[in-house]
Amino acid sequence: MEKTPILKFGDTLIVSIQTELHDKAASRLQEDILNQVQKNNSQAVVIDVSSLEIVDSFIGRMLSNTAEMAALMHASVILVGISPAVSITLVELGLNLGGVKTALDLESAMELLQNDKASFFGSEKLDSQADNADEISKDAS
Amino acid sequence: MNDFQLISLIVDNEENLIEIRDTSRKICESLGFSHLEQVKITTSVSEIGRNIYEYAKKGTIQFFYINNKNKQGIKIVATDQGPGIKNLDKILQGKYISRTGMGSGIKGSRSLMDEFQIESLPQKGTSIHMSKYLLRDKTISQEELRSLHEEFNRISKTPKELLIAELEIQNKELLNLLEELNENKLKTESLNMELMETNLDIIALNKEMESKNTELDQLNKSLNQAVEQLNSKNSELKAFNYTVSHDLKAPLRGITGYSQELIRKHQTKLSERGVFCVNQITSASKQLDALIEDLLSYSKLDTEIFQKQEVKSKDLITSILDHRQSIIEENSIEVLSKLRDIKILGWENGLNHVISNLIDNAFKYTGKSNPPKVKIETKIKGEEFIFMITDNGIGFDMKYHDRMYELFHRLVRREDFEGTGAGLAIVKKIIEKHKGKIWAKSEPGKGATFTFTLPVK
Repeated sequence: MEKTPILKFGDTLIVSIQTELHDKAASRLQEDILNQVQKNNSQAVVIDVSSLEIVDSFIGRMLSNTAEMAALMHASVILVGISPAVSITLVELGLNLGGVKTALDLESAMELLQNDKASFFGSEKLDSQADNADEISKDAS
Repeated sequence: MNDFQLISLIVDNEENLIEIRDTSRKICESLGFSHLEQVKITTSVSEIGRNIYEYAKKGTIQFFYINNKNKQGIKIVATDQGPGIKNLDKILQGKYISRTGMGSGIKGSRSLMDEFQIESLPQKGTSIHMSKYLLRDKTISQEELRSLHEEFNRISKTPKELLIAELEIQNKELLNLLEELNENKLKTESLNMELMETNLDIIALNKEMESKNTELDQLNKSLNQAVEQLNSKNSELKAFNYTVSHDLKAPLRGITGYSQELIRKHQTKLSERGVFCVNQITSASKQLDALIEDLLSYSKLDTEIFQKQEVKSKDLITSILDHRQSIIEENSIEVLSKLRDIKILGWENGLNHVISNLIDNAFKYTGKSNPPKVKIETKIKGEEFIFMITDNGIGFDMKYHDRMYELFHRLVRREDFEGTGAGLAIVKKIIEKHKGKIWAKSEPGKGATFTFTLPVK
């Protein structure tokens, strides 16, 4: 049985689903992703589904569940490469992937992550400056 | 109503689902559904198929081509003999969520398809009929349908066992490969170890070689020292020769001169015994002079580099004999010469010395024969010049043959025959310098034959 490769890219995991998944493989992939998140202390998981022709309720549920689970482990999931047909089908199927962030392709996903990180570090910087300010005021007194 | 069954597939395990999805997509594509519609239909099929597997474990899915008067499309019939669906109404209203957190499958499928009918009886199973119509008119001929039917059946009839077996084979192959890799790794490791050992050996060998080299260097050094010593000895010898020739000769000349003066001017004042003594002194001095001369020429041969030139052997021998005409007549020696006109590439002075010496020897040792006979002959055999001289002189015992050529070695007493004993030694050396050979045959009292050969070139 083929296993879906999970690539580590800095603190991001990249999962590119290349073949149609049967249900067991999908469940296993979910576990694998969560294990890798824990192992690598990953901040984000980008799942590329552009090769998937069919996303039925099971796979859809699996993806949204994975996102929820990863969030519990402080990692955000971004789904990329959902084709028009798949998106229409998902909506008509009545499947709600509300909790999942999406991006058009891998590149925009990486950009999105970069922005997130920038804003995160930006706030930290401000915090440290504030600390310094505190110290200075102490010295003055 | 005219439905044509394209294929009937069995759902009894998870892997089927992927196959069914794949087949569904292919069927939709060949029937002319758009990509979006293909995805919608296949998603529904996937949902229905999963339900069968999940709840009934086994069932069938049939694909039909619908060809009504004004509608063409696909119809999918899914049936199972499972436990039936309990909360069908709730499910269809979207109010039910299954244990697995799903439940949208049937409802979703209904919304994805154009027509959807479901019948479910507890303990008797469920059957679903769902259809999707093509948006544009596209009739497919019976022939086309039949060929589609054949194609799909051919694909699906590939026995799963075979596929699984193939997968297993591939898996085994992979495992074997892995094992092989491991073996190779082990081999490589052992090879590496061997290499390391060999390396150590080589290093040891190198060290040994180095020490041998040092030894060799030392040997070479001592050899060079020996050569230097030898060279210095050689130059010492040369100096000694010079001393012998000049420094020894000078007092000798003194002895000779004064003894001659004694005889010439004071002979009358000397007793008979006194005259005898002076004569003996004179003769001994001459002998010593000859010895020194021979020694000098013998040692000169070692260092002298001679230039080869064309020598006419017949002319050379004839001129030597001409010079000795007086001796020949005086001793009435019968000389028989059989000389061929042979040209030799050699050292003329050296050859002159060799032939003169051999002729003189022959004349000397035939002195007491009556009549003295000397035969000289030259021949050419292949590339070799042969010189033979035979006499009827006193001869010698062959057991002394080899010693004859030693410096200052004589087989006869000086009282009987004059000479220093250096003659043949010098001859032999000159002939060897020409890469030639010399030998003799003799019996005491029966004369002797001396032969030498030289390469012509």
